[in-house]
Amino acid sequence: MAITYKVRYKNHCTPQEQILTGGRWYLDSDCGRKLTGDAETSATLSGSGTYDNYQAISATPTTALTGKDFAYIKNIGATDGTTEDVLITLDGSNYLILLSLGESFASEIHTDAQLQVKTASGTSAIEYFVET
Amino acid sequence: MATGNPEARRVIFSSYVIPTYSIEGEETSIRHTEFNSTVGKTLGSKGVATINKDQWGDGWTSFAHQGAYWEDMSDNWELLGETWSGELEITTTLANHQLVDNSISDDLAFLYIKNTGDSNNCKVSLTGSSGDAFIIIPPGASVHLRGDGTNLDCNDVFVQSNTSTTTIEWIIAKTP
Repeated sequence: MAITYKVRYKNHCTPQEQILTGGRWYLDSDCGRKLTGDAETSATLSGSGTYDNYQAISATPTTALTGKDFAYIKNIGATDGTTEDVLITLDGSNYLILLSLGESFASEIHTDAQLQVKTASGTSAIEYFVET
Repeated sequence: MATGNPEARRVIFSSYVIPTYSIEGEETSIRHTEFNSTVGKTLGSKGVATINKDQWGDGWTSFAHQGAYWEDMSDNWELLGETWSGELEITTTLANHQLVDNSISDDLAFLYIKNTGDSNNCKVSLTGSSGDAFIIIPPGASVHLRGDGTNLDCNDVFVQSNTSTTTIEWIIAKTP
């Protein structure tokens, strides 16, 4: 029996604008609608992946993860209460993606990506799932 | 439009991830799908990104692209064969598809890209035309991210199709 691993994922966003300070938020008039993408990974995944529900993060980058086809990383905050923003790099050097507490990044990625995570300063923690 | 009226702008965003595995039966070719037992649950999150109420231009969303307004074009409107569809067709040449003009060097606050094509993947570089397009967006999928607020600029984002062409819609917003 053939076993196939896939990740179905959805990234959704709702742009909003506020006409009066402190007033009600409306759907942004420039966009006009909510935006959603919903699909399975296009890559053929060969394994069940790696999941960790708690990894402590500091200003020292994590060990690089390479050869991955899909990555999900969520800033869950450390158990000691520290909740620094988390920075992600896909190339091992440019930390360009920011996650505040409770936010996540979920995307199919190229297997040449060199995935690493750190904080600008202080500590936090992440939940992550990667699959090859 | 993009400048003027709003007192504030923000984007509420969320992700929802379902790791699965499926088994195809030997005789019936019926595929049974269930949770990947490594995770055993769904994953996800919600967040809010505050963006600048006065964006860098109409093209901050593909829905209000400069291509939607004939007065912003270099062509005469009567010579154009079709109206702006809200989607941009991209090819395999990364350097040809910078999402904003190179003069827009504002820090990127929020990026959303959806591959609205049917068959080819969209690839995204966050490090310029000579950078690596490590983010992959299959047809129908999307990606969103917040910039680090310093190093990732709006004009750093380039996109390409992995084969032939595909189409995208997007939001690319600068920081307050």
